[in-house]
Amino acid sequence: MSRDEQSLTRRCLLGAGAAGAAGLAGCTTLYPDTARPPDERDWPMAGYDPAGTYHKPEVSGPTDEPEVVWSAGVDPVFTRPEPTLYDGTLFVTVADGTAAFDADGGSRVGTVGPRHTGAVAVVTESAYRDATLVVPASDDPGRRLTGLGPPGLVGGRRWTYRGGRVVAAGDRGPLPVVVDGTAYVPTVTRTGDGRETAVVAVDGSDGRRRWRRTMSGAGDPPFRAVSRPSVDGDAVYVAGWFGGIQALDRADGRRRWRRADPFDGDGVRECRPVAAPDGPVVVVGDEEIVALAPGDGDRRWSRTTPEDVRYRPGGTPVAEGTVLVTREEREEDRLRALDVETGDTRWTAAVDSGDETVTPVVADGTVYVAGRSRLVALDLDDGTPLFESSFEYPLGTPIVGDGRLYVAGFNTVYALEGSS
Amino acid sequence: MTDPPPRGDERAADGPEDDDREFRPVLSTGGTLADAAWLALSRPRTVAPYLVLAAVVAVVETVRLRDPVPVAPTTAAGSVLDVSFRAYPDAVRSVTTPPAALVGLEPGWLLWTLCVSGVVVVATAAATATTVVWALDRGSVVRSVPRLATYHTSVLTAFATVALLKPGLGLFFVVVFVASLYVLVKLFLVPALLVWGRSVPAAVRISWEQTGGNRPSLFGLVVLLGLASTLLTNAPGLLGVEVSRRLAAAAGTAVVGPVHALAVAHAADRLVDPY
Repeated sequence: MSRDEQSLTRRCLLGAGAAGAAGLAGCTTLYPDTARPPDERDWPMAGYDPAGTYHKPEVSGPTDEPEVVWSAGVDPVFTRPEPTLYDGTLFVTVADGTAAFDADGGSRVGTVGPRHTGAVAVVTESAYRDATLVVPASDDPGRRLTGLGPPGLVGGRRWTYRGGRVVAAGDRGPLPVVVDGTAYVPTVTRTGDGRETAVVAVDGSDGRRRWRRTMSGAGDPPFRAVSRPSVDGDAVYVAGWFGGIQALDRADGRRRWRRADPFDGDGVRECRPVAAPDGPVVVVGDEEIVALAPGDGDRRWSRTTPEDVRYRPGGTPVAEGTVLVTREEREEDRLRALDVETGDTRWTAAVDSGDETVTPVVADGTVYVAGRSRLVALDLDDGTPLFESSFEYPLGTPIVGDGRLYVAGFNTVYALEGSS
Repeated sequence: MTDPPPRGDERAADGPEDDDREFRPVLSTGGTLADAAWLALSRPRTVAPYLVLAAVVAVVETVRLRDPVPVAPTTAAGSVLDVSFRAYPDAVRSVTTPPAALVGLEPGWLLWTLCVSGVVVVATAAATATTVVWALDRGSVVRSVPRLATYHTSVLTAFATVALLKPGLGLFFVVVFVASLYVLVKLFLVPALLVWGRSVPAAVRISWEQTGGNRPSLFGLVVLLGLASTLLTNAPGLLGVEVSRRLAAAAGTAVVGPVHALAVAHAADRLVDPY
């Protein structure tokens, strides 16, 4: 065989191989593997679980000073929502959409539009073989809840819910909550005399509305800033500025109870409820933290802050009978661990909680607090510092994978692993 | 060669003195639409197939709105600028499944979606064939339905492919869009030719050849028919009348569908030598 013929054959083989690989990639895209339900390896939505506890009991993160396993530059989005982790892929909200990274090695798998400022939630129970990513797209007028196929050769937008603009308290990005194939989000629609805020349940398979519950009755002040709902069992808890807190039936949105104003303090920037496992529903306002009975909304306990001290908004982790809140105490921020049943303080620790979008997370008895330029780990039992790492730029809320922390900083995504 | 005598509004486009050239009948957009409307009025039964098609599509869309496969409105509510070009005398839809939403579906739901789409394609083929045959008393409904369905499926597949590739095309999509519009105009006559017994390749070839000189008029038809369907679908919303989008789309099918099919038949009758 001549050299030319050999070269030709090699090229043919290479070409056939490339075509085969492309074909296989196409087949994988068109006929993907069946999506498995999220488990302890994943972080499928903001807050980790439907209740929004930010607590991952089954999996450990680093317990000593971590090393950067991989990092990747990203175009920043100002809200810096926490990443989402599902089936070995890390989804990070970036300026031009949702970037997908291989969680193991850090290579960028692709970017799927549209642009948004919220967090990604994963739907696995649907008419699709693979997962659907639920994001509050901002390329339409307003923020429309949108279902996307994972990044691939083809695909993209699967559905758009057009029944209202997805809202978020303050300058946070909207944080959809997904349970059993249904996404729960607060929305706002324009009406003849203003705006109407509602919570909607949207089918994660096709974007159909399952139910909608308006948050304000006739004559009520506008329910302006509605936070991430907390879904626990058959109830959906939602709270917001002026609107108090409401418990809705998860099946049909029927209102179970409402507390018009559980706070004695002034206006609330964000009050994100969290349903503690087998415990009360905890809501943190600017100057008061309230625990309500999940069945009827009766107040079980409350704590107010001294003058010039206020609670930071954001998520409220609940883990192993402890609720974690961050207070701005004059010159420093302090993380306070309270007994979720009584409200008694168990311990406090000085932290640098950064901007208001950052929430502490808990994994296997360790609390991780990201801040302006530090990442701190504390023992959940007594607040003992375990390690502290410095970073060049502010960090967002971290999430916990199997032994790793993933955190989106100002312009970099980090995967961190303990050194031991 | 001997030129055939001119019919209707036919005239020699290249000059009457040039005896060596074929007469190229010239159509006008308004004249073709008027003739199509006249055909519909003079033979009212030609409207009936599209009334049936409108009912079939309404039922199909009702079912589709209840299954877990996504559907999206075909036009933004209240929009008149979102004009769709009509490539084929098919039904006006209120909702449709975007091609991207088909990727990754469970096989059962993909098969379901394709089967339901197939029902609409066959119903559309039957409506087109019946209307064209009843209008000009030529062709066979039964024999032409498979050919029409095949052609319609090919058109839908081509559009779906372009839609899927659109995100990766960037500015090149403008080129693809203009080229698609050109091809649509050149293939305007195909449905009537299929009804009159031509195979799909032959119908495509003949339509491509015989539309020369009439592209502006046919382009006008494609635009006007698309605009009419959009306006009819959105008219209730624009007028502040609460009407279901499915009902408005059904009205669009019942009005624009037969006019489109008859315009195709009329244009093909003018431009193509039946022998």
